[in-house]
Amino acid sequence: MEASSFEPIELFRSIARSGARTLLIGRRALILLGVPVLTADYDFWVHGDDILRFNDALAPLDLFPNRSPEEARRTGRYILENDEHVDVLVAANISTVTGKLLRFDELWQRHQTLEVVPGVAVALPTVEDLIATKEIAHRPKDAQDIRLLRMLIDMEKP
Amino acid sequence: MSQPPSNPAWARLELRTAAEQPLSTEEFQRYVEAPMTPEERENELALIRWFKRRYPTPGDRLAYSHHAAEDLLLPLELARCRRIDMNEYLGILPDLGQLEAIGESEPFTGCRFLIGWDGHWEVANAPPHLAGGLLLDAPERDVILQSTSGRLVLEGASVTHLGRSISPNEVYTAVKGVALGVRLERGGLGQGQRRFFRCYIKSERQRLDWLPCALGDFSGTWTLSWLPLRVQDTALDLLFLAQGPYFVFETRSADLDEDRFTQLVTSARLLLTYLTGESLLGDSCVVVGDAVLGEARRFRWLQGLRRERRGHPYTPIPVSWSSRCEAQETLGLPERMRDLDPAVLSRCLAKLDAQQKLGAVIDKLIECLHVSLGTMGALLAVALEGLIAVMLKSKEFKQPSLIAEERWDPTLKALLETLNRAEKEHWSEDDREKAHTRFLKGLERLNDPSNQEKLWAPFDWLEVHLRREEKEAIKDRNKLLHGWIPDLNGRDWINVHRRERQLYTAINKLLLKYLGYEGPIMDWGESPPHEVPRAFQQL
Repeated sequence: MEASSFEPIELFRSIARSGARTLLIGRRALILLGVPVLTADYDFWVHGDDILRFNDALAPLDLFPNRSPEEARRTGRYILENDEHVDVLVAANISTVTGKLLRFDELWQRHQTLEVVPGVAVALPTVEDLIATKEIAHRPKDAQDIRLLRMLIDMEKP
Repeated sequence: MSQPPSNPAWARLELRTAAEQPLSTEEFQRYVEAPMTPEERENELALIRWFKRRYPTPGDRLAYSHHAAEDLLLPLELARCRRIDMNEYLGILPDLGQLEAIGESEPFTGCRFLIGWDGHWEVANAPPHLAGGLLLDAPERDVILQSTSGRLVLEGASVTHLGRSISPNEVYTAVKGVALGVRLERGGLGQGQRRFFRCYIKSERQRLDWLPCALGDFSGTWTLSWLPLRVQDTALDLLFLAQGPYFVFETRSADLDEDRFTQLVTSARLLLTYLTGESLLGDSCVVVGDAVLGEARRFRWLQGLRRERRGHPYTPIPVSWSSRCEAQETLGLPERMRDLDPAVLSRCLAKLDAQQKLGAVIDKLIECLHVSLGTMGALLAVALEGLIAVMLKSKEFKQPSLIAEERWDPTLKALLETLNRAEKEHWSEDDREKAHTRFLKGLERLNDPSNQEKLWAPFDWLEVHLRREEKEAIKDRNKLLHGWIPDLNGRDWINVHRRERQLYTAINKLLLKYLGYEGPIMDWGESPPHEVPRAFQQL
């Protein structure tokens, strides 16, 4: 398999230009905030109405969805893939392991923006909301990430 | 399974599958809320601080993460990850303490035994005929028992305690003892049958950040923490199982016997305890099984060296990721030096395996970290001399003479002739009897370096640079060996401790270089444990 010449900046530039309401979640978000963890994937939470816009933006990067927007809305998630892997959550609401209901619209209202290079910004949930998204899948690595994010909060306290 | 996957898509699938096994809600919460030691917390914080300093902007971090995923995560981290079935690993090991074991050999026929991992055993209700003479009759021998899991043998069992009952008959009812080892046999293993070998070691779980564990999980459900070692053609893996908790050495090399496996594991346990500060010297159980059927056939429990089970903070090399990052930054090393490289550890293990006597030196170095101030220096002095003796015995190294042999030989001949002449002309018979041999030996040693030079020579031979303070510490080793009695004011004690740490660092440098280690080392002479920033040197 030949490796693609995928550039992560282009991914974020394309998403920013598309206007799709998109939150970067998962370990890549932790890394941007300053937590050194390893990941091979990109995880986004996209507003259910913006799936098409999001997919169109990433098509020039040879990232293609495995489900139609209707199917994705029905199942709540889908994947964009070539030899990169982009997980996309599109559910409007989702429950955490503690029974808390996370609503995309609320997270979007509170989101923070980070500029990855001049002119290219990426939207992230607040650190507290990011912790809540880590309580969705209750995998071991999510538990570890929550501990690291809590430390990040402690470090940034005055 | 053992080779790094070459296809990135497959690799990611493996990675994802392994990492995304969900925990139960309770397990997840337990993991999230698990308490952290101050040291663990400080390590994590130091790592975040380092990362933010090294990659100050989100763009830098994004570039790093992309590069790390391509260059580190796939070829390196995945090469270190192995999926295992925790239930299989834990289920194979009988719970020795719970085994129903009944004596089959006299004088214990029919007695019910309780046995611990450490070889201590107990007969709760010994029959009356055991009374009297037992200590003499059964001092040290194998005791055969039958259990529901197979035939048990208490190897070299001795009785240490007889409890006298308070009944009017005065019979002995409780017998306690200890065995050198406990063996359980569950069917035989034929010649040529493919075998698997594992050694389970009870762990105190001091720290685990030295294990390469991209997917490591310590919550008790599963583990992927894995250190792959290789000595010649033998692959020896070290796994950490969160339940127990246990460290497990295992080999997937077919052409091995139990003795060779045990020998290799003994060396690996000693080396890794020394290098990482994590004690791998606790109670252990060696398991031998049929590799084709996946069935364990033989178990042997052995008592560990308890005094060393607690681990130590004086690791000779930086082992946690945060300290290695700090070392890399301080010394300006290439990024690849940031990881504890299994290939480097394998090289060190191969050297120790080839020169088993180095084990005694390493044992002293571990031991010296658990003794009182002042005594540490004495043990270090012994370790240094032991190390040099091993080097000399290997013939790889020879103490240099003051003058070259071709010039020394005629010189010695001339000196001996002079001595002979002087003896004939001036010495009495009595003088000759008392002093001839002494003078002869003295002359022969004239070309030898001084004791001080003998201690420095191996450092020169291996091109290990010593700092001035470390040279001074080696000079002081005699003082430390014979007991340095400091003044009663606190300052002198501090000097003694600093000297000991400088000597420890110097010996570490020599030993590590001899073992084949390359990379950053801790400079304990400059910074004691828990002091930040830490000091490093490079080998």
